[in-house]
Amino acid sequence: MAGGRVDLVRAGFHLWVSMYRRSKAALLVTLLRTYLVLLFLAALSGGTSRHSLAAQALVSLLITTTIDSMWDMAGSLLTQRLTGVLTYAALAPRRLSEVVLLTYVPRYLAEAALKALSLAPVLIALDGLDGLVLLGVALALGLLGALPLAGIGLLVAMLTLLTREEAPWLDWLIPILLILSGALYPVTALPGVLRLVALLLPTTYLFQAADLLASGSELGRLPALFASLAATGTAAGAVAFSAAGRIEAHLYEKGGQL
Amino acid sequence: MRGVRAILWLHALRSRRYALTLLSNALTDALWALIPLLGAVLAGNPSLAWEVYWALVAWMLIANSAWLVGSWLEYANFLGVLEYHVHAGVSPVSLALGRTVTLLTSVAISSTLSAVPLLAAGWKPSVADPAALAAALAMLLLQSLAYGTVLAVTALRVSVPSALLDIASLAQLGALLLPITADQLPYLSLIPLLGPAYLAKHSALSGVGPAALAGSALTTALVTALAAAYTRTTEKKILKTGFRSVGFV
Repeated sequence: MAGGRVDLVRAGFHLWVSMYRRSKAALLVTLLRTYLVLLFLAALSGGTSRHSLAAQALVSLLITTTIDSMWDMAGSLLTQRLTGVLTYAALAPRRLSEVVLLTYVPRYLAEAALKALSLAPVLIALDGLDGLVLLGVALALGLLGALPLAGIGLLVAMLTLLTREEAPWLDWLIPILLILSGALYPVTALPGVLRLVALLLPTTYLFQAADLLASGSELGRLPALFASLAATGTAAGAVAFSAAGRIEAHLYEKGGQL
Repeated sequence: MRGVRAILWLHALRSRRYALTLLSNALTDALWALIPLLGAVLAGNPSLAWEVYWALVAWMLIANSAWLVGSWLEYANFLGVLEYHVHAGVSPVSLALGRTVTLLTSVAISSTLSAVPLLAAGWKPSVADPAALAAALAMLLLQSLAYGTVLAVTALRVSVPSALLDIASLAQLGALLLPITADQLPYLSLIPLLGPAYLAKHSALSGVGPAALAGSALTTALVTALAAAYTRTTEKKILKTGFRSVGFV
């Protein structure tokens, strides 16, 4: 069927390949960001031991994928609205949320893989051949991150359309999500209520898994962490997709925001 | 700069029209600033916390120049309005520099929000050398605007989104959080952008010597002159080749 889900993924793939072929510098700069986040984390913690740097490299990958997934889908929708093509996307046989999500998936997967590969020099320099194992871990975590981040990013993108703003106006959710997920400080340092909120966020388990895998300690906790990630990620995705449907219905009634 | 009043009025109106975006931008900055500030508050050291605070205010100026000024020409180019300004004899760069209104509003809000945790801890604002702080922030604003202008003009030349050109923002934040000593200050003051930011940070703790201020002033003059020359060259080139995009209006 024309306009099927596979077609949307394929269309998204061609869109982003075309974008990066046209602007290789943009791709290079995107890849550099993992190192810049790493520098920020190192300055924040003051930690320079090999283990902490390796752990911070994994966290920097997850932080950049989190920021990008919450920014790119919303930014893409606003650009489409600005150029007047969002109305056509809304008229596609599939729901607008599906179009947004499925055309973004190839970009997410490709960028997560490339960001993980960009960390190869630092991981190998820190741990030699063991660095290759960490590289595999980085790759797996980057891809696994799609589960929690797709739903959250989609919801933020659809909410962004509710107002007539010119830029994603919910980007303040990014630092909140990172703080609550324990990306920057341990979740145990949060006040009690916020710790409960952290338990509901799938990203919390993603960052915890990164920490355990980098340190190589308490690996027995990983199955429970991945199960929690799958459960909360699926729940977040379901809630986000349902909420996105309501927002779409609201937008179709109002019309103007498209 | 032709039509300065009109440009300032435009950006003032846009700031009101897109108030949600402006507030979101300020809140986002304040939340990023909160991350290192909370660490300083938890350390229980008021002077350290205010030192970190002024470093973060300096970082907000740098980062917002890249975002708000640096990204503006790309946006206006995308909208297809740059040609009209050129025909009206208004420099696109002066149009982008009008975003200083938005920048200062956003930084004022985020700086105020960032001070809340310190004030809530009962720590009164601490500035050992207010004159040096004012001079450092003024020089930083000039350097930041030059930086934003260079990013904006570069985005027109090479078609790389200026938000992506702003690759240095997080690294600058990391560099500003590193501890510095008074004897390093005259040398550090020569670094573009980071120099005046270090002066602002250090002024919270103790006085800043004339050598450091002079070094930063020299760099400011150099950076703004280079940005102006780069802008002039690019504007001449664009008059021959046109803008590298197709507008939609």
